[in-house]
This record gives sequence, C-alpha cells and structure tokens, in this order.
Amino acid sequence: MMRGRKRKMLLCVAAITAVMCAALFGCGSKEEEIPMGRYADREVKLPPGTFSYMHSCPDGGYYLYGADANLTYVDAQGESREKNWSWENNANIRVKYEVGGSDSGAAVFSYTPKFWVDKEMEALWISGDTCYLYCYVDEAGKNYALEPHGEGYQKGTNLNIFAFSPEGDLYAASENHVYRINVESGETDSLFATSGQVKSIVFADGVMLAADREKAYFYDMAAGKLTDGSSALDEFIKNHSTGGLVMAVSDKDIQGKVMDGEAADTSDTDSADDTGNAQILYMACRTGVYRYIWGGSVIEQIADGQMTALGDTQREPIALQALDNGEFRVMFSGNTMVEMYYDETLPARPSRELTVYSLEEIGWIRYAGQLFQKEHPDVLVRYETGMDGDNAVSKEDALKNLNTRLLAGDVPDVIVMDNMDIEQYADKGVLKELDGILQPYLDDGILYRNIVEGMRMTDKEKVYSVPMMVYLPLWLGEEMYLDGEESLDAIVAGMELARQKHPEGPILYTLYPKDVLQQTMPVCLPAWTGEDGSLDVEKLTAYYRAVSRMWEIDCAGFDDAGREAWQKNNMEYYEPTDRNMADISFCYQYNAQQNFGETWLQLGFLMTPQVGMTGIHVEKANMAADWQPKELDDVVTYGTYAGQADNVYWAKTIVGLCEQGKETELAEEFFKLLLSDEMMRKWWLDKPRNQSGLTIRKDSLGDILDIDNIEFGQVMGFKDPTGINYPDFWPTEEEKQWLYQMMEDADCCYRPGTMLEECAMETGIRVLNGELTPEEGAGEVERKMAIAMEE
Amino acid sequence: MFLLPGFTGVMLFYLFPFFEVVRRSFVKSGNNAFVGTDNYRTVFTNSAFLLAVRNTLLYMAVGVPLLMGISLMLSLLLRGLALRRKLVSAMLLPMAVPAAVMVLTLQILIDRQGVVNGVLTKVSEQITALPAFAAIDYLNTEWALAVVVCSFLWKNTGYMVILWLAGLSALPKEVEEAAQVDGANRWQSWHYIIRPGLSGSFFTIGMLSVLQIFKSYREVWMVAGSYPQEHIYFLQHLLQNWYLKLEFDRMAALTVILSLVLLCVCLLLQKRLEAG
Amino acid sequence: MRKKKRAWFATAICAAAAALICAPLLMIPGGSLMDSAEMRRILAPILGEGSGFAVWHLIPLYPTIGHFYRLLIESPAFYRLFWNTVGMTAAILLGQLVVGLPSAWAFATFRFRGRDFLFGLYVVLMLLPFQVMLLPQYIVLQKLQMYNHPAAVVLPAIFSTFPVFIMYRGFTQIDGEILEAARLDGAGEWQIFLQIGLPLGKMGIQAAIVLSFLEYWNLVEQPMAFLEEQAMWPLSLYLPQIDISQAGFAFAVAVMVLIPALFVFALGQDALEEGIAYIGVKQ
Repeated sequence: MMRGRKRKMLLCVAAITAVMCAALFGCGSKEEEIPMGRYADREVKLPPGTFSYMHSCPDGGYYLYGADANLTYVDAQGESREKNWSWENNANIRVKYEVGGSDSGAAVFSYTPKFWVDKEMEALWISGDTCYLYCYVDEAGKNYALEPHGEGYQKGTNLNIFAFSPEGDLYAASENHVYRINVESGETDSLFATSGQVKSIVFADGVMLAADREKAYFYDMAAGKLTDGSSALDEFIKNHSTGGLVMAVSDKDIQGKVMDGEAADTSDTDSADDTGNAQILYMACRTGVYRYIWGGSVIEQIADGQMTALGDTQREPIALQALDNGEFRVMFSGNTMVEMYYDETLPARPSRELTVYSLEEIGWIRYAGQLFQKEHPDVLVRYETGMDGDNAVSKEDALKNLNTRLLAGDVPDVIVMDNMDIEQYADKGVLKELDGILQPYLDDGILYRNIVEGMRMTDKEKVYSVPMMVYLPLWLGEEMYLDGEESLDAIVAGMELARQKHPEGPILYTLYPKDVLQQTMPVCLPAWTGEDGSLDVEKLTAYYRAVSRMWEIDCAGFDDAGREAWQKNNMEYYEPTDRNMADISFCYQYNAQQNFGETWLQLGFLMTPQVGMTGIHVEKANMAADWQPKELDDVVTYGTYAGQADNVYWAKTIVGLCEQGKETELAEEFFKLLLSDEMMRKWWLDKPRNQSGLTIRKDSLGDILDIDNIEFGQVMGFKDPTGINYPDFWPTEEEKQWLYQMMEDADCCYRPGTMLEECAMETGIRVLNGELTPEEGAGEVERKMAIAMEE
Repeated sequence: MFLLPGFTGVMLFYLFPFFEVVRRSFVKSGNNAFVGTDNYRTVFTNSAFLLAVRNTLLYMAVGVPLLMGISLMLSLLLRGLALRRKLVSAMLLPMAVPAAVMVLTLQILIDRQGVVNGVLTKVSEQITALPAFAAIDYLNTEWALAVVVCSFLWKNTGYMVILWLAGLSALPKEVEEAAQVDGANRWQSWHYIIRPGLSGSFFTIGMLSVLQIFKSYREVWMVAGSYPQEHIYFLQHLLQNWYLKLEFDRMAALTVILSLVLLCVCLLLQKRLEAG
Repeated sequence: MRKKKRAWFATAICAAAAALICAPLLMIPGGSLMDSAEMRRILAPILGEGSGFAVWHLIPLYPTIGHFYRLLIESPAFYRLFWNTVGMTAAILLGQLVVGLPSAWAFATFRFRGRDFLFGLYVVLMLLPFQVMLLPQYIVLQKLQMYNHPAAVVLPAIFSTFPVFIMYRGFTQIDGEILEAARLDGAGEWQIFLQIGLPLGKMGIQAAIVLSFLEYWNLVEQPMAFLEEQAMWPLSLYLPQIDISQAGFAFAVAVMVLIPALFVFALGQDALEEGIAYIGVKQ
C-alpha cells in the first residue's frame, strides 16, 4: 500500500512537471492578419500668439484665447480672424488666468488686478491667497465686471473653470463646488459639491456633465438636480486623468472606427446598436481617444495614444473638439494643436515594434521616436526609461532591471548609454559594432571624425556607441590667469595669481568642495586609466594635490563666517542634491542675477550652440559690470581648458544598437534618423534653450549658428525688430571658427557616471575637507578599484 | 497531499528558477557555450570573492550569536509580563520602517558630521576628565562593521523576540512550575527544562538570523554604496556588482556553491538540534 | 511579593530595550513636520555644506504640515499606491496561509522519505538572495505572461518557503501522541489538521503572519523588478531616493506607512488568536 501511494505521488509530481514544462516552453504563437485603418494626426498651424484655451463651436470652428493674445476665431475651413476685444483696455489687469468661452464669442475670464478696489479682497490677497476678479466680455467685445455673489458662494472663492451652456448660461467650478452664474447680475447659485476641482464641463440634452479627477457628475439643468452617474465613466476618469483628460460631446457617431476588443478598455457587447441620435461623449487623454454613449455603460477606445501626438508626455491636452466628419481637434499645452483623422491606408495596429531604452528621459530621443513613427506608420516606437520621477528606483536598480532583460533575451533595439559602462556592455556582446554604418558619414566628412574616434573601445578597437551631442570645456576670466598654457598646474598657477591680485573673496565659482571637483574632474578623469584599464595612482594623487591647493586658495579669501555668508547668498541658485555631476553648466544657466562679479575665474562647459556662444558675451558683460574698475571689460576673455587630459569632450546622448535586438534593420534606420540633419537641427529650432549639447554633425552645427536662419532668429529673439535681446552678442565669424576648431580637436572622451568617477568624487570631498591626505585618498580609491577590477 | 499544492508553486517559482541558475553556472553568459567548471574556478580564484566570504562570515559570526542571545534574554524576561504585547510591538517597529527612511536616519546619525559624533564631542567637551574626542568617520574606517552589526541588531531584535516567544509558549508550563515548586533555581530550570525544549527553535531562529543577515544587504548598500569600506564588502556586494557587469555565469556558480554549503549546514544542524 | 518585584524588574529592562530600539524612530514624526529650510540648516554638515556637526530637533522649531499636504492632497498617486500595498499584502498573507499551512503541517507530522532533504531544500530556497533568483524568476513570469501584473509579485510570494519554515516550528511542538490518539479515534487527516493542528500551532501561525506582514508591507525589490507600470507599485517604491533635501517628505511617507502597520499590530494580534481558536472549535 505504501508503495502504491508513493507511485501515485511520483506520478502526480511528474504530471505537474510535464504540464508546467509545456506551459513554460511550449508557447505557440498565432500570426494574425492586421486590419487596416486607424487614427493618425497632423499639426495645425495656429494663428500668431500664445494660446492656452480653446472653445469649440458646433459649426466646426473654434475660438482661441490666451493670456497675452487677443480672442481669435478660426472657422471650420481654418481661416482665422482676430476679434477685437477690449481686454487690453482694462488698465487694471495684472495677470489673466482662466477663460471660458461661448459659441457666440462672449467669454468670461479671471484675473488679478494691479490695484484692489475691494478692501476685503485686498486683505485676502495680502494674506497670501491668490484670489481672482472676473470679467465678462460680451459678443461685441465689451467688458463688464462680473462679481459673483449669492447664497452658497463665499466671497473670495476662486473659480477656475468656466463653461457656457448651449443656451448661453454660465457655469463655473471652484475647488469643490459647481455654480451657475448670471452674467449680468453676478447672482451665483451653488449647484452641487464635488470631491475635487472639476477639470472639464460639457453639455448634452439639457444635462451638464462636470468631471473632476475621480468622478463624473451629471446635472439635469431643467430639473436642477444631480442625476445618476455612471460607474463605468467614474472608473475610467479615475484611471485616465493623469496627464490631462479632455472631453467633447457630439451627436455624430463614428461607429466602425472603434478599435478591436483587445485594445479597448471595455468590450461589453451592448455597444452602439441603437445609438440613433444619442449624444456621444468623446474623451482624449494620454492613452488615446475614447467614446462613451450617453447613459451607457461602455467606454470604447477609438484611437491609440501611443500612435498619435496624444502619447507625448511632454504636453498635456487642454481641449478637444469632435468634428462632424469624424475627425478630432486636440489643443495641447505649449501652444500646439493637432487634428486627428482616420486613415484607411494605415494598419490598425503597428505590426512592428522598435524598443528604445535610456536610463533617464531624454526629450530629444522621444522627439525622434515620434518623427520615426510618422515616417514608418507600421512601427510603434516604445521609448522606455529605467528611472523616472521621484521614486526609490536607483541607477543600480534600473541597471539591474535592464540586465535582467538582456540576460533573459528580451532585448531593446536601441540603448542610450549615458551613465552606463559602455565598455562592459560592448565587451559582453550586447552592443553592435557601428563602424560599418558610420563609415559613409566619416568618409563624407559629415560627422566630426575625432569625436567618433574617441569612442573606440575594447580589445577590438571598434566603435559601439556614438554621442549625438557633446559639451566642451570653457573658462572665462582675465586673460592673464589662463593664457594658452593648458594643464591642471596652469589653473592652479592662474588661481595663485588671481589671489595675489584679489586677496578677498572667492576665485572660482565654488561653494563647496564638490564644486571644485566637478569643474576639474571631467578634464582629468580620462587620463587616469591606462590602456589595460588600471588606475594611474600617481596621476590621481597629483590631481588630489592640485584640487586641494585650489580649494585652499579659494578658501583663503574668506574667514569662516564670510564663506558661510557667501554660500548662503548663493544657495538659491545652487542645487545641493546633484551629486553626480550631471548638471555643471555654464554661461547660460548662471545669469545676470547672480553675484558673479565676485568670481574671477569661471570653469565650466559650453552646453548649447547658440545660447552658450552668445552667453559668453552676456557673461563677459556681467562679470565686467560687477568688477572694479570697469575697464577690465577688455581684459575679460575666454577659452577652452584642459587638465590632465587634453582636448576633452563630454559625451551626451550616447546611442548604441543592440546586437540581439529583434528589429535590427529598423534600429539602424532609427540610428540614421538620429544622425540626420533634420533631427540635429530641428530640435534647436524648436527648443533653442535646452542644454542638449553641441551637435556632432558639422553642417547642422553651422546651421544652428547661422543668424540668417530666420525661424531660429525669431525663436531666439535675436532678430526681434525691437532688438531687446542682445543681437550684438551673436557670435562673430571668428568665434564660430574658434568653436569649429575646438570641435575638430576634441578627441578625448569623458563619460560621466563611471564607477571610478563616483569613487574619486566621494573620496575627493574627504580629501578637500582635510580628512585624508591626497596620498591616502588616492590609496583608498586604488583599493576600491582593485576590488572592482578583480570582480 | 498536504504538501502538493504548496510544492507545485515552489517548484514553479523557486525550484525551476534554481535549476536554471544551476544550468547557467556551467555556461558562459552571453553565448551560452558550455564551459564546464570554468565559472567555479573563476569564483574560487577571485580575491574579491575571498574578501567577501571573509567579511560575510565575520558579520555572521558576530551578528547571529549577538542577535540570538539578546533576543532570547529579552524574550525570557518578557514571558508572562502583562505589557508583553505592547513591548514586542514596539520592538518590531524598526522592521516596519521603509528601508529608505531607515537609511536616512542612519545617515543623519552616523555621518562623520552626524548627530552621534556631535553628541560625543559635546560630552567630551563638557567632561574634562575624558580625553578629547575626535570625530569618527564610521562608514569609512574599521567602525563600519560595528555600525552594520548595530543596525542589524536594532532592526531584527523584535523579529527574533517574536519567534522565541512562539517557541517558549509551546513549552509545557506545568513542568516548569513543578520544578519551581521542587526548588529548582532559575539556572537549573533554564538548563534542564527551557533549553532542551527550545532546541528546535534554535535551529529555526539561527536560520532566520542568517536570512536576515542576507536581507540586510540593501540597507548596507544604500548607506555605503556598491564599493563600501573593505570590511563591509559582503557576498551580496559581489553578487550585485557581478549582476551589474552582466557576469551572471559567475553569479550562478557562486549561488550554487552557497546553496550547497547552506544545505549541508542546514541538514547537519537540523539533525543535531532536533535530535538533541 | 518577590515574584512581583521580579516582574517589575523584567518589565523595566524590557521597556528600556524597547525604548532604545524605538529611540531613533522618534526622529520620524519630528522630521515629517519639519520644514525643508530648517531640515537643510540642521543637516548642512551632512550635506557637505557646513562645518561642525548635524543636530536634530525632535520637535521642529517651525513645524509645518506641508509634507503631509503634498502627500495626502497633492499626490493622488499616494492613495492608489497605498491601496496597492494593502491589496498585495492581504493577498499574499491569505495565500501564504492557504498554501503554506498544509505544507508546514506535512513537514511537521508526516515522516516520508526525503523529508529532511526536501525540508533542507526549502530552507535553502528561503535563504537564496533575490538577486540571483531575479533573472530566472523573470523568465518564468514572462513565460506565464504574468510580468508587469500584480500576480508577478503576489504569486511567488505566496509560495515563498519562509512561512512554511516558521509555521513548521509551531507544529513540531505538538505532541505526536495526541495525533496518534486522534487517528485511532478515526479522525481524518484534514480533520486532525484543522481541529488539533491549527489551535496548537497558533503561536507559530501568528508569528508567521506578523513577520510576513512586515516583510511584504515594505517590499521593494520584487515590485521594482517585476512591475513596470508605476500605477501598480506599492507604497514602498514611492519614497524618494535617499536624498536629504527631500528628507521631510520621506519622513512623512514613513509616518503614513507606519500608522497602518501599528494598527495591524494593535488589532491583528487579538483578532488572529480568536480567529484561530474559532476555527478549531467549529470543526
């Protein structure tokens, strides 16, 4: 009997094992036909001005409003005409805030005044509450003060959302109430309470729908009471309001364009069989466009956010318009608008997926993904980031997750290698050799060859990844401190000299020990490792000695109290949390507000092509302005600097392709897109102030620095006819040539985030604090590196 | 029959994965070529491995007996007290604190310029009889291991007290009371009644202490980083760093070695303690 | 009289130990109410921004509820994550009881071949560091299409061998003769398990639940590895990185994490004991 039982047990175990094996390894996949047709989008060119609100009219036209722009009406055909509002005539407006418009062109807006008439309100204002005043503008553009009052409305409660019903009644929402306001008398009825700030209000069939971030409230306007809500809708709102959720009502149904079951959020079957003339609520959010039949319980997806501009996490939808032809208009924050149209020729779902990975979100890469998707409608670009937001995921955790995927064979196609150990990944066969792809670019002289060459690594001496942008070291100061000779000792000598001349105050812009390290380590670190990857202890010791001396010289200009006071003064502009050197910046970031006149020598990096170059001039002017005597202006100069390593460039957005990626061809095409003139140039035209770096494409860099590039000049304000924005500071031909030469010379790659750097940084702070001697510090780093090497 | 459902899951989520680890310990990660015992050889000849083993053993040798001793004493005292439950809950609190916050408090306390050094300096200034106190950089000197052990004790004492109490509660009270009536003193009742009765618990709690030692890694790492002072460079640092370097083959080999050692220790202890 | 004195003495020692253990935690409530400027000022030496030593105000000089406001009012994500944690922990604990209790019972009361070895294996699996199991578990979960689904965290946790190990201890302390007697009386194995095993092993069960709760309430590594979507994350991942400038906020989160844990301690222990006793009676 025992034996029988045992056999049974064994059988059982065997059976379970077999079933599990089958489940685990026998995954049969079915190829299926992908149906055609999905929503795509096109940008709409908006009339000049910056708009932050849109009101859609039933005829297909819409009104645009902006805090600084006049009311503009755009009709269904896209013709725009400006309505002459007398907003600007109202002399007592300080800042305009929220707007609500009606079909007829009347509107209500909230603002804060320059001076208060009402003492009670002024008291609130002084106590720190921002409270608004309201203004009603009729169709003719005439202004009336609107003073909400009545039972249930407490004076000073801010109304943030306004909406006119089709009948012309004004509804408004505060943080926790919805009101109806008589625009002429200002009489205000409190209609119902909400749990949070209502974000959108729409009307249909005598019902007002107001939605906050958690719930949709249906209010019967005739009966004057709330009616039953829809739990399906509440659930949907709760799950989709992150990143903005906008609504629109239309009686036009766009059946047949509902995406198939799997993609939709709910796929009950009682969908629109008998919709007839029912009203349909359309909603747009990051994940797509959805429809909900008034009174129903089903929410269906009609467009996928990932495939359209809706998926862009950089902007938020602020208004939606459903058009009779089945198209949608979506207004976004950041003054952009797209029209979404149904394209029969596109596959409903992308048949291929290109996965792009980076540790931290990079706007440029996301932008490239969208561009790539437009060019390849059958491809979905999945951009994944290892660590985003404020959470407990550290760099190591993110890398661990990435490595898990790599080891499990679930490999992304493109990896952005910033802050990662490129050599390690190349060595382990994760990264593909790029020499073949890059050859034509180098032969034709399109890219800076030296920068690409600086990325050769491993025993094979191949290029596995390429920085799309670089930063270059740059100093600013009196010429005599750093003239020509470039080495760490020269910087020390320059500082000694400066100290002799200016016995008081700081020399460098260094508040704390780590600032000295951050400003000098990038130009020294590449020199510390030998061919075989071993640490050159002597160089490191020499480095620690030099920076200790620099810190000493810098500190000699203060007593303790003086230093503390200086640190305190600068605290506001100083980011204490940044310990990984990612954000040393230069000219542009430190602007005139800062107390720069007190520093005599600035070390930093040139991070943007135009703003950085013009910034040099701005900065020179600032430095000189604060200096005594003023004549020093002529002496202020700038140049590149070197430490223990020469011709250093700081690699940014380092892109590599995966050997084991599933879509290698697409990945290559994506890589080529990244290297294209369009990507390299357009980005700066769109966002000239970002600090992505200097492009490694020669022609693009030239284009960006060309003031005749009209679009760009406008964006930057350099060609502004009023001439407010320093047109004189635009780099001269000579300066441009200097920059190009610097780019040509840069051949020594500095990559932030290596283990050696972290280690040297941490120990370096202790060295500068006097806890360790330079020798001890170097010894400690050596010991740690020895463990790391041995592993 | 009782075991089967649980065993199925264990198989799926733990045994299978473990077999995968064993398999990977014999192949080169990257190209999956069979390399025999190469990985094991690399591990054994690795000086970082030897350092890590030495440190981990030292940590265990200090941490486990201290933890078990302290918690056993406390639970013997706690037994039968009216406030028992409240006190145990209080002792458990550090377990409920999220690791990130625990690390934060630790940093504030033991940084070279932290609160502890501040207080000690103040004290030595006040009392002139004491020699002048020089601030200690706890995490970057030989003190590091002491700090790690202290925080380990701090966090886990309550945990082990719970387990001891569970073990003690199962002892037949009558025997002990009878012994007391017979005039046995505390030492005798401990030696003849309690200790033999707890022998199984010794095994359980010892194993769990080891488990907690392994689990304390994340906090150590968060405080001191991937390459800490050389006295607190543990096996887990090695494992983690290998993982970050994509050296899964070595990791797998190390794991297999580790599990074999643990299995032997476990079986031996079980035999001895459960028999005794 | 003497006994009473001794009890007082023991209480005093234990209270002192408990106080010592809780002392560093006193920083948390104070810290959660401290405004960032004050925090930064007193911690400046640690941030490398000042000489001297950091100090700590147990009671902030300028208390603020700003951190709680930010957490409870301004971050709706908090509630979602909070309930995620509650849901996950509850599911895991329940599952562990259902799955682990019988296993522990089997190990404790049945003698079968390979028992010692199998049990040893369970112990070793319990001790294996997660870092090593991460990759193979990931592969399994992906094959089962559970990656990026709460089940990816819950299921492996349910089958964790840890509670088995602890409850096993509770069951081994049951006198074998009682079980034999019950068998002779014709009681089925399940009956014995439910009627005799559960009530007698209750201290072990209780310990397992408390310890599991503590472990899973603050689970960090598994969700970080197996849940891609932040909407599914538990609260423990919401804490900002160890970043002293955010310390006040981190302390506020810690308070919100601790309060429910305290509740569970306070309420859970009694309820649990009664519940187990009740099951035993009912059968």
